[in-house]
Amino acid sequence: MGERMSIKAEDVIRVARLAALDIGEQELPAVVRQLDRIMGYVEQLSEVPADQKADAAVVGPASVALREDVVAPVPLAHPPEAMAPGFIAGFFTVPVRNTLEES
Amino acid sequence: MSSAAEAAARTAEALEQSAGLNATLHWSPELLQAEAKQAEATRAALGSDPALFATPVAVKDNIVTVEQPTTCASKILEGYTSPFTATAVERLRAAGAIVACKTNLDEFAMGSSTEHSAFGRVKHPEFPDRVPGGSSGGSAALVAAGVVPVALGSETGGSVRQPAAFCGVVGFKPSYGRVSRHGLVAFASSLDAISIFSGTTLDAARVLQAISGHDPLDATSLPEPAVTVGPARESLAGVRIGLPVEYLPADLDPGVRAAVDRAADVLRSCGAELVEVSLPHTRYAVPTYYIVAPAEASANLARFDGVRYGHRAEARGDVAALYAATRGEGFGAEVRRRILVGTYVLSAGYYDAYYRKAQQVRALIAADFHSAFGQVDYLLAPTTPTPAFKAGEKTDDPVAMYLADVFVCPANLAGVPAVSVPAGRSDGLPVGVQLLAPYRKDAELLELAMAVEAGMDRQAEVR
Repeated sequence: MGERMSIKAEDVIRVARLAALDIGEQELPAVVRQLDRIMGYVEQLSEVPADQKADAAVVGPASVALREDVVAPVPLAHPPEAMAPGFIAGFFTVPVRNTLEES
Repeated sequence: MSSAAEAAARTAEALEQSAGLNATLHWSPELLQAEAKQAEATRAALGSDPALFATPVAVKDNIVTVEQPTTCASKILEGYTSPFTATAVERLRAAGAIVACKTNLDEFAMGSSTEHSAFGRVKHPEFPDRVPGGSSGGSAALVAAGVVPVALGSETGGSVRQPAAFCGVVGFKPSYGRVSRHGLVAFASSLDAISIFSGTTLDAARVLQAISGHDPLDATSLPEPAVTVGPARESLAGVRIGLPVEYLPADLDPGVRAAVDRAADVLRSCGAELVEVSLPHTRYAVPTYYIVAPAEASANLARFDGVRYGHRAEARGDVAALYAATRGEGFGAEVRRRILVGTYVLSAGYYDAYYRKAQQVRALIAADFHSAFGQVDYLLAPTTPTPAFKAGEKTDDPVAMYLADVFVCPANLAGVPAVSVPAGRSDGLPVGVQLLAPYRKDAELLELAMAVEAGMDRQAEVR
């Protein structure tokens, strides 16, 4: 990883935008400090030599069991139409918008 | 009144009396009685008592149920009710159990103290100024307080074994894929495992037998039938147990160290041979976990945007502004921190340095376990570095909080089963020791744990 750059306010603002997350101006300094602390801590992984490798960690079954590709009833407590504001002929619908200016 | 209805009424009373713990988020006497009726109907259809007949089970509020809301202790999901029920809960009901309540947790299961809940912290049932551990602190507290005999929690990095040790109960994390994740709100999908709290190891085994087994609704569920757990191992002659040196540092709490020694003595007295082993990458487990888990969380929690689920901010402007405002005010501080860390380590320019590096080290940690299990049958280790800490003690320093998971998160990274059993008290505070087994050896692990449990006095001072 080389020399780590400390986390700055602009880094947090950039990442928060990527994460679709509003960070208030007042809390920004504390968030910067905490993220810098966390990234400083995880930095120790750079001690592990890049060529020190093991087979990929395998957890779970050896292969993913796919379900049969057949149409079956959805095991929901309520049918989809009960959860939708509009539902016609098996499709969700959205309300009619009469004019573009309405909003 | 039927026996199930009586159990439901007793549970309602106990839940009422334990309200001060702040361990429950949703429950009602009416729903409890409806559960009791369902249990009676299951018994009638079967013609005999099902395995968990009339057993009240508390369920962590990140496991979905149709009848009650699922909030994950987050404002962003306040008022949300799932349109389907988790497979594990369906299976509990098929075994005659009664869902007692939904329990409080660290928001989205992110935390080690159950102080990061949008609905207030959970108190330790015996020491109210201390934490019950986390993130499944509500489930742990209810079992420790005797409100329910068993509870479901979830582990991503030790969130059942750690609170089990803090509260003096049994906490069992099955092998990854052993229990269906269908209906467990995803935090870090390669690590998440529905796990069990109980007063005794035998009860954990009974619950595992009911909820394990392949589920086609979880593509990572093991293609195997439900686990059958035998009785406690009587003789451990020929069994080799490893004591990993990295789990016994010089600065380990003396009470915790004494508990491990006591468990080792019990195992020896049953005929087991104890040997030192090394898991050399253990020190990297917490930093690896705090890259892998936030990275997966940042993707899994992207769906909570104010449009599809729960809370929506009063935002003006475009849809991006609505998402950001909703997520900014809907998520608590710890969840936001982890989303930011996860997004950072996955972002262009940092992916290789952090995320790919963490995957490399995760493989080395798993290889450590593989290698250790080539030398020994099981491992014995402390569950936590210290007994339960004081509320507020670690909330200002996220890294100090993360280090509470130092001995529990390696098993999650490697996917192996592990169980924490109560091992006595240190200055009055409960301490636990954990046993770990090779992948898929869940039944054998619980049979060993029963033997250890039988030889330990969980109320005795160990220091």
